[in-house]
Amino acid sequence: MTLRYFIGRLGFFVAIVWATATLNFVIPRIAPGDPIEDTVARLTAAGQSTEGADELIAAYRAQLGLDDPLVVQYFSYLKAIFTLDLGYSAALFPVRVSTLITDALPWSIGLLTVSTLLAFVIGSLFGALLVWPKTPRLARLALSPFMILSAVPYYLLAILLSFIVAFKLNLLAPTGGTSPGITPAWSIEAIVDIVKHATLPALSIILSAVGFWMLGMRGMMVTTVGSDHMLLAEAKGLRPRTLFWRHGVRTAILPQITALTLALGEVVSGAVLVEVIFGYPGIGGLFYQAIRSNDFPLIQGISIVLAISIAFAILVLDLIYPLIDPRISYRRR
Amino acid sequence: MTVDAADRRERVAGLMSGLRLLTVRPALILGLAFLLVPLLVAAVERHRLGAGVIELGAYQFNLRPSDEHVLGTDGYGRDVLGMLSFGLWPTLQVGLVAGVTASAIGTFLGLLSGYARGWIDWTVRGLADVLLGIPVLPILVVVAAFLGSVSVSSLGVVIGLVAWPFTTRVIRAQVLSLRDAPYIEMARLSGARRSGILVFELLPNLLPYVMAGFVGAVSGAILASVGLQILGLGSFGLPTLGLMLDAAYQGGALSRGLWWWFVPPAALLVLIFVGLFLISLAVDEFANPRLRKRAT
Repeated sequence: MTLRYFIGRLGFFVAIVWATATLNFVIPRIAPGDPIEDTVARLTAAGQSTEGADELIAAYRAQLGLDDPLVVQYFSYLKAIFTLDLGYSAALFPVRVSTLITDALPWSIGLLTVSTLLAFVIGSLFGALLVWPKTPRLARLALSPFMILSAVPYYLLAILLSFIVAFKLNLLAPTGGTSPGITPAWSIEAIVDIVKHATLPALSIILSAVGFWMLGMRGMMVTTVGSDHMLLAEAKGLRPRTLFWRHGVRTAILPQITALTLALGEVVSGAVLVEVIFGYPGIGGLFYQAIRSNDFPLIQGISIVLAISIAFAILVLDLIYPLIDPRISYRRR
Repeated sequence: MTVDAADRRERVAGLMSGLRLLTVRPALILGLAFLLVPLLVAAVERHRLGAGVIELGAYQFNLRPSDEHVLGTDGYGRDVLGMLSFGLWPTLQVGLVAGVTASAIGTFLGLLSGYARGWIDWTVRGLADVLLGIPVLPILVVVAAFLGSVSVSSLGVVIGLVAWPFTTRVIRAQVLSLRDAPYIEMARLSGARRSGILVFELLPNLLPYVMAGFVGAVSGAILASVGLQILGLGSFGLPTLGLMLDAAYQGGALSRGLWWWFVPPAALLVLIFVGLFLISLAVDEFANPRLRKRAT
């Protein structure tokens, strides 16, 4: 059974990568016009990197094998995607798409991991407190607005925070990942600078995501509070603190991980847009540049990498989940 | 005769419970108000102001809010209140088109998949699961980038084409639990056709779920379309709230302190999203009665 579950999840991951690659193969071909001529024409019109144009076209032709039959093109495209060969950037020609993405990825992963973990912890705690019978009414009332904030997209909070905190109050830098002249390094000065720049983007994500985790935790906690094992634990005369943490929160929090696998796509997409607002040097910032400079290979490369990373993260969570929740065994859904 | 009367009574009772939902759920009323009041105000303002106020260079640039321009003018000399009034409907339209598309496909495939089982079920479920695993925004970016400028309704259709799996999943699960219910058995035994059973016996019971999926698709589509516009994609030729935000951001409204350019569209979008959220809370409660008890 375990092996079957494992293979099932793995097969699902491969299917997602395949579907993403296929979509990315089909979309440019059903779009009107020749994407390559189009790209070069746009670049020339914009007066960008025209000197490399011939090489660029040659590289594209080779990469896409445009003189081959469509089926051959499709399979060589699939092969390229599965080996993560994403070709060359059009706007910054000799640079490979994968290089640009690898440079941007650590920024995004850092921002997203920290803000998602914080939101998860705070939101789950708030959600649990919201339902806990001993929570004071006033505290409950104070926590509720976060649930409404969960309906507000990250990017809108980002715009408002950027304006109020960065531009009006001048508390934090409005854009970028570091101050000019500071390069990322393991020095106190650089780390403080990086954290300062990441605070506002992270805050935009956390403020909205806390409500999402609250809603989920609230639902789980309601069932837990009413369950028999809580009654037994209470009857045993355990301390309220033990009841809350060990018997309440611990039981209710695990399904939240399933919620994360379902919401991850939206969380990442939201973070991409937050990066745009703050000119953050991660994947979102790169995506924005690619779109503004009509860099089609880079746009496609980022879209594919985003889809694959999300699918991979879901795969990992799916495989870990039965290990941490003894109630679930490795069985088919 | 007696059967007819009982049937009628049931129908009336159903209708009444629908109406009661409206009166009992403050969240639903508040949510609907958040959407309808701005739409009404926008319609009145559109009529009052006329399309001239949102032409490029109609007025001086970056005017502060005043008696003449209640919300000021933007960096292109357009009246901000006018931009909001003309931009609200196209913004919502993307969501409605996507919601209708996603609900239609999702309901059809969900009914089909749950009722037919076998290879059809297997295929639909596989397709839905894979599609759910692919993040929507990156795919939409590729579509919008290659197709160039997309109209409001085609963007809605494209979003709908990727948003149906949520509805399909829920509907399928419900069909599976209902398909062996005695009244379905009854219809089958009395020789009703399969399509008839699906449409007349199953579908009415699934409407709350269809509605829940619809609201979700509408809000997801608006979220995605505004996101696309902030990324600089999807020039519709129509004013939308997302394009206003994009223009404000590009025009440096944030650093120049021109708050009346971007705060109104952002606030209106917040109102729309919170409204849809409240509606979805109420509809979810209706679709899933177990939630009613646990509402705190």
